[in-house]
Amino acid sequence: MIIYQIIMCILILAVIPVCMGMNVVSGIRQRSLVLCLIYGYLLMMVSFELVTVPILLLTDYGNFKYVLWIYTPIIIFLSLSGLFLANKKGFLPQIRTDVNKTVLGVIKNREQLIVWSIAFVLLAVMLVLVSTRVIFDGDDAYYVTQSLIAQQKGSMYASDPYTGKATAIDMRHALAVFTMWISYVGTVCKVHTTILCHSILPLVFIPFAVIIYAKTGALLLKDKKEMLGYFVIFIEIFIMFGRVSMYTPEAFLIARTWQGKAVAANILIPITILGLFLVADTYYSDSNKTTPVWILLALTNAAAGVFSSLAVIFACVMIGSGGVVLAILKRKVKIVVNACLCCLPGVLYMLLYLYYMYFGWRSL
Amino acid sequence: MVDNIKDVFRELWQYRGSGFLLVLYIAALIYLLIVEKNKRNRYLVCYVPLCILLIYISPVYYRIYVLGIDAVGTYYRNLWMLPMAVTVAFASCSVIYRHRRIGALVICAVIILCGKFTYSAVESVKAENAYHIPQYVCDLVDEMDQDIEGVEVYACVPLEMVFYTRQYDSSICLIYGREAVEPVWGYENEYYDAYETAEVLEWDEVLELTRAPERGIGVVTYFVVPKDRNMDSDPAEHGLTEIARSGDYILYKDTVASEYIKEVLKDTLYME
Repeated sequence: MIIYQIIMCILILAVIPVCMGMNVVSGIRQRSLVLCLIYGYLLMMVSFELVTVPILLLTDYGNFKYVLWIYTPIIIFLSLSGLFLANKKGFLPQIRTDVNKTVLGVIKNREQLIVWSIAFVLLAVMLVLVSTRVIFDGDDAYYVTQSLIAQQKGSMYASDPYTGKATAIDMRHALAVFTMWISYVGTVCKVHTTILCHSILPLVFIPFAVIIYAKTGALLLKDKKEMLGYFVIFIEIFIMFGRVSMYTPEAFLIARTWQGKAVAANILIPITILGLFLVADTYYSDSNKTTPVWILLALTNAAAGVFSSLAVIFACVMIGSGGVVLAILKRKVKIVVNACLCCLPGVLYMLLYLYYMYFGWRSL
Repeated sequence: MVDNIKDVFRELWQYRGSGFLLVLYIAALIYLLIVEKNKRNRYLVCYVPLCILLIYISPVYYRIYVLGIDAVGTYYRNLWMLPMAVTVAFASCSVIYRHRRIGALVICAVIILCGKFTYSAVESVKAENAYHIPQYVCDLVDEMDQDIEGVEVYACVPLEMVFYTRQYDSSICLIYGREAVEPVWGYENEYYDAYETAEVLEWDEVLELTRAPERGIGVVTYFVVPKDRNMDSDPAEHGLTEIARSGDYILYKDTVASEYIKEVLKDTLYME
């Protein structure tokens, strides 16, 4: 059983996102394996939201079994189509070359080898700490239990997580289906969702956050590539010593990795920043192919709702301000129009959210 | 409007907490504004964050947020949009470029001194199992099962178990949950008052509530009691049987409630 669980966790949390990401990343100039992983996760979240929300709103007690039946073929299809597309566009050989080049670059240079070793040791220390230490958080009684109810009872948001009594859907949280995604992963991998949340997801999302920061650093330090290892070390130290108050993203990342708002703060927002950089990079390179990078930003905006309704606002504010600033810098009004178009998924989400908040569940 | 601005800065101050990472970020931002020449980099780490900062301190956005989006208590989350870690790390790389080794040590020391170690928090404890739930909770919940298949178990547990019980097994229903025990939420709950907050646990009073006929098959069948809890009488006198002990807690089963459930479900499909 444990071998099955490990294989399935690697498949769902690493292999499938990378393959799915190839669908959206293969066409952009800055394509890389890391970008595949990042945007693959977002595509995974968006497709999950599109499957889960209608089931949640239209079936009795939000029948979780439908999610399992419908979502599984979708991610398999998207993974295969990603692989097919990457192969067609010559991306697969490029990944192999890039990985070899990066690894050789680090191994051959003594300074780089030491710096990257320190970075990996720091990450390992962080992961050992999150696995062996517990920081109590009362919100787990809500989020973790919601995931467990879906896994054990097969219903979504139909009972009060605190007591177990039957209840109407809590629309404030229901559209943010990240808890149900956890439940999906737990059910497919046959892992108790509480173990998944507390012992497995931190081992995935903390390195993932570091990878996103590292990718942003790699773009910022394009002219000083040898500094990237140092950049990653500083980021890791910042995360480890970032709990100056209980409100910082770093505090959320370590203590509540599995909660939607923590993922929004440490995964989604850094991805939005990365997306803004990719857009700016494309415009400053005077490239004509701007549509694919705007699609990445739109995907980020669409994925925000999975984590929390507040994340949708943040994604819209960031993309909106990023668009306005870039439009002023490049003197192109069209950039603002594109930024607004990227915010459309978020606007639709908010309309649905407000509709259900004010008119109630099942009012359609 | 002045009050709004005060609120905004109060949130900012709370966010800063006990360290100086926010100060470090502002220093890094100013440094990059002066030194950084690459236009793309300036866009990402200077102009966009400045724009977001302006939005954050804007009373108009504050009003929209508080009136239409979320509570004042979550306004600090807007600061998550500032790329603090990225800016500090990038500015640091720029500063130490010519003296990397010694520079990296100094930067690490500065971040450590300005920050606070995550696991220095008092609530950080050693994990007892993969669930990250106290082992006694798992042991006691494992013992809770209903005699009749398909009927939910209702349990009454002390405050320290309320948060964990249903994270371990969601089929166990609680007579009161987190909503009753969070002081800031301030909800009244008669079960919680009788079982948890009363100085002496009076079994007659508690059982009158938990065995109330209007609860139907939702009567409470399991009670977890701390060993050192002050009680007015021996639970055995009231029809409670000790089932298990773990840590500093004892699990009792209410046999009277169990029999009552069987009585209610007599001649139904459950009993067949």
